[in-house]
Amino acid sequence: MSPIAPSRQPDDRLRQILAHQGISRRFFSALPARRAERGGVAGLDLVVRLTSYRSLPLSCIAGIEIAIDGAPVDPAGLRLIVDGIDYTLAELGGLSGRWWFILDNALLFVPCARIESDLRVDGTLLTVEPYITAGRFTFRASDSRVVTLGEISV
Amino acid sequence: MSETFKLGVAFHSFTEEYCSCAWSFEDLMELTAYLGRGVEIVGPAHQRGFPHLTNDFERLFKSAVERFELVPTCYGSYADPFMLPDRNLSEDELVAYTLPQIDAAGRLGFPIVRLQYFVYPVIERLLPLAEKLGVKLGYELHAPLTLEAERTRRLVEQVKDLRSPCLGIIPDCGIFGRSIPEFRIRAARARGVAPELLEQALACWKAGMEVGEARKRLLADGLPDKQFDVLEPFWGCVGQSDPRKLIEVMPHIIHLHGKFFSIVDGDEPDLLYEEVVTALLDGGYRGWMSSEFEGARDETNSFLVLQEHQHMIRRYIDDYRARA
Repeated sequence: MSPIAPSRQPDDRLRQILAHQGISRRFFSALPARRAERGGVAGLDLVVRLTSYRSLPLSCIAGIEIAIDGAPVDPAGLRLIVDGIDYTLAELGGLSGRWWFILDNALLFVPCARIESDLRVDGTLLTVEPYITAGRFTFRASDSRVVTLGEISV
Repeated sequence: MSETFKLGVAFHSFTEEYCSCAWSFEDLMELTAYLGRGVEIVGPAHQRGFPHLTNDFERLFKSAVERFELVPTCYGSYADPFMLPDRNLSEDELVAYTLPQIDAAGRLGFPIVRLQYFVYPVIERLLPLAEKLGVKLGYELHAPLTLEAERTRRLVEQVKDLRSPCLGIIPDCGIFGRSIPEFRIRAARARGVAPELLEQALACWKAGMEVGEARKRLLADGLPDKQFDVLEPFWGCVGQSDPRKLIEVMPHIIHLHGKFFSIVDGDEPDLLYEEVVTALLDGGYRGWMSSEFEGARDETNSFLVLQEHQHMIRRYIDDYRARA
């Protein structure tokens, strides 16, 4: 085995990397929401992110809870779009071979018939870290954001 | 450093900057050139296509190893036995999930694969591939798997019984705890855990109560089930092992996780690091320790705190030599 090179000493390249800025790790991305129609239902596509530290099989997305202006949305109407494929929440449990890569955005479709003013959206992503010793239980990552009429009319 | 163990980085340390896209995977590789050059990745975090290895990731990884003069040290495999909503993975499924990970590690040039203990019942079905590839498999001893735990005793017994040159253990320094990190306690308060239940959780941990039992007791005393996830890391991250017990298992240690939560005035306040380093040097450990930061993510640049951790370890090594 060749000898291990000594560690690099701090330099401009190091300072350059350390100065990089990141984006939020919260459930709701700051990217704009879009009006959408899926399965004949009108609503919004919100950009969402996985809140774990690692990629997860979709079977470990144990649920998503959404409320608009304080009113809970029926989870049966939500759809998660990962890698361009559209899933109902009920389908996710059986998808242990499909993965949400940790750095990738997904879309969350929220049915919403009429949008006449800014909306407050509260959401919780329920994930299972599938090796935690206490067994399968869910971690909850809650977030909220305001979807403005301005962003969805672009 | 060549006469002692070597220092590298567990990429789990970079979670905040990696998951927020501040630092790309290649940035993490380059940063490791400043931190001892030993690379340990987390399969499902860093390898797109996990548990299978794609040609794209193989090229990305190997070119970065070459450009930045790095040393692959350990591949973090996962068993993920609870990935299905209605049952645990079967033994056949555990094998089918783990073999591609061992293969990926071998192709990427890792000499060691970190195993989660769940593969204990199927280890004899994993070893032939490891032996063929010349890769060692090591059970991670991560809290709550302290050196004194019954499950650890069974794992070490199996390692001894099988006598494979490709099977060992990987202690995680989080098992050598003296206290629960303050940021974990702050997180529980922020979630609204009642003060008396938080005190009870801390007392249960200090008394060495097993996590399942503690959960039952806390739920019975009124803890809402949805708050338990913020208390689980007390057990899942910090154990109370005696560092001197490392000496007893030293022949089987193939790698180490230098887990830490914070560095305050040059030391890790919650873990017994000086005692750990002394035991490792007394026992003649010569492998790698991957510095692994798992502290508050919003206050610290993980690169700088990793540097501090490695300074601390080197200081303890110097102190040891000065005493010798």
